[in-house]
Amino acid sequence: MKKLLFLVALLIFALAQAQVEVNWLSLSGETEQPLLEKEITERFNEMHPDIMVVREELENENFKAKLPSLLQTSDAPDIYYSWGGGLFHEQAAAGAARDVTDLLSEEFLATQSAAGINAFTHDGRIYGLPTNVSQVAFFYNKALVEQAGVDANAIKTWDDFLAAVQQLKDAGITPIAAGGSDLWPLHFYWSYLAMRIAGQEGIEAAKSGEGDGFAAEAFVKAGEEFVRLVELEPFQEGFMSMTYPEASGFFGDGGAAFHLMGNWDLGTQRGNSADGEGLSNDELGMFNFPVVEGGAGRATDTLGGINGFVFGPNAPDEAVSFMEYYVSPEVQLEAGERSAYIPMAVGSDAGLTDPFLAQVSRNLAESQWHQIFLDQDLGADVGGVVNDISGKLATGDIDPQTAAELIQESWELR
Amino acid sequence: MASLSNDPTKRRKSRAASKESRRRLAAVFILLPPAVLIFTVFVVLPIFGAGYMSLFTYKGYGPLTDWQGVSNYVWLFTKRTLNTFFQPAVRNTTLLLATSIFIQLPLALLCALLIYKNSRLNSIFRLIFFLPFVLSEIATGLIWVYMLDGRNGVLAPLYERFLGGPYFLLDDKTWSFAAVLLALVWKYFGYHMIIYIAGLQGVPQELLESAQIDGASNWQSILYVKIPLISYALKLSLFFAILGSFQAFDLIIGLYGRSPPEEGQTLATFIYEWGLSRRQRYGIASAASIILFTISIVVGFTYQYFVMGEQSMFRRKQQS
Repeated sequence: MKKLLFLVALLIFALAQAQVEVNWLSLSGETEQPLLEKEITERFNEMHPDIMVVREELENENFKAKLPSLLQTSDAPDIYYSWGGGLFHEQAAAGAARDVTDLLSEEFLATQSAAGINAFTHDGRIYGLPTNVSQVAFFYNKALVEQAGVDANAIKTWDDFLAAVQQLKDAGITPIAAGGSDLWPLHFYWSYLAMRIAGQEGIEAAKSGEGDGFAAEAFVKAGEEFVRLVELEPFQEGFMSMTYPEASGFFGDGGAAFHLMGNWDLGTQRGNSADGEGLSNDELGMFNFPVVEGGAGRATDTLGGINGFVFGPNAPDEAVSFMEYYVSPEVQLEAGERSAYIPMAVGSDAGLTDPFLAQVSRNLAESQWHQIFLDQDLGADVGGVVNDISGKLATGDIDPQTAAELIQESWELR
Repeated sequence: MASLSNDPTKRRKSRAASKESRRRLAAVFILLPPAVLIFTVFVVLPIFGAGYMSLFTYKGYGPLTDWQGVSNYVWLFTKRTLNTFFQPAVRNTTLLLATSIFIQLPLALLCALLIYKNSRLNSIFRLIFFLPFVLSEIATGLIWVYMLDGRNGVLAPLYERFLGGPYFLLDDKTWSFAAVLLALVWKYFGYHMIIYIAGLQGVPQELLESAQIDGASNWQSILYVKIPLISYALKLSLFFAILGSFQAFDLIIGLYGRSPPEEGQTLATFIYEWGLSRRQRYGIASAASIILFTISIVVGFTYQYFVMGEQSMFRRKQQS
């Protein structure tokens, strides 16, 4: 009897001690971010003996392919990586994410960027928390640009840019690196041109189905302007068989003068270059995507991402406690100091030591409209078509009119 | 009946027979359920599931609610965004089928005829030809990526010599699928060759000798003695080749390193591209998989019934 009592007591003690396990599914990569995430996880687990955060990671493409089925099992992660946009809204609408609005205090929300929280809000309810923001811009190799006598800082309009490309070609330098095989690096051109020509109102109108939608004249014009660039044959040889990491390494090795890419490329071009060093900050320059004359878009409008983490359908409250810690300004300040990314928590950008990240952070502060990557924002299927037509425009396999019509068709089929 | 049961031998026989049939019945009840259960859970139910899902617009999250009727099937043929993938998928699958039948199998037969006799040299050739089949599909794809690479690949000197510069076959919109056909023939002809060799080694020596005595040329003894005698092996390998063409998938993914571009799609990769891969249009992918399933079933059963003939699983029963 005594033995039994002892066992029962032991059991109760064990249960009281039992930890709540929080499963966190994030992305792998050769950047600072995964390292940071691992360290923060360990730190949090030490501070909270009753919570056990288990971080798992998947490579980008695998993550996207695996997540939909994972979210419908009982093994659904409690916290998962998200690019926001159309896919996030689909997940929230279908119950694949947990509404955590009531768990978030006013004080906590005051520490977070309103735009960031807004990116993870669906129908007025919050399903996730933002961590970082990114911008797509032109990075350039100072030495190559100077060699061709191009003044990159003077590139303000699309025509300026096309002239610079021609000048580089004439000097025998490959003007632009592009990871065409992945398609999405090419969709930045189409997206930015559409933003510069149609403007915020034009894109919003297309989304709500006004007029010809994505088949409207502004979007045809975006394709035409992209074709003007393509006709100069600006990309490296065999660019359609190079993936993004390969093209990034090619740029890091000094193979081309320009690379239109998100600010994460600063790290990626180093990691994928032949010598592992790539281009140092001193060898690099950056400028915003030029304006198209007569277009409705502003020069300050930015394309990029707002990334963060969404709570899984069965996430325990402890998952929210952990994320509150992770996105807190103190931790995010550290992310900025370590140049992991551009953090979003209020005041955390003060820690940014990298001059380019600091510059992007200023650009974003000036930006009145930050468009999330169109291939994410429009949803997986329509986004896929945007990527397809960008690739085809780059190889001359489609005309701008048809390209715009295809996007509209898939938007209607959604 | 009465007279029958009065005959002692017959009675014993019938009792033995009924005992035998009871034992058989018991075996059926014990051995069949697991097979039926597994087949139902892993084959039949998913087929019906896909059929049901093909009637909805579904993006992978939550319950099926967005009923579309047969729209997904119609869209495959009418909507340009889908058709630019579906049309090449159908064309390429047909092309794959034709290449298997008219290039791969004759090549396999030719090699088999050349090296079916047992000798040391022939064994070495057999090993070399069969080796590709042992490789995994993804590895084969990667090997061919390195073979074909325009700048550093094994074939690069040839491009340099005959085309005057680097050439990227996998990027060539018109010819890219030829790379898939090449790699598939290279990988699988050895397998068919081994089937034929096994058949050819079973051809009685006496028949060949008597054909020779009757004045048959080498060519005639191949055409009138060897080939008719291995017709079963030919029909069987043709069946494998046909079904294999419908299923071609892993090697293509390996070659392109991802879901292939439009011009490199097959029906199987189309299903992957629109369902499991990035696009997440499960209804459309299900519709395509039901189409592929129907084609496979019709071809498979028709072939079994009409071509496999006497050896067919349907006819054997009627004869016995």
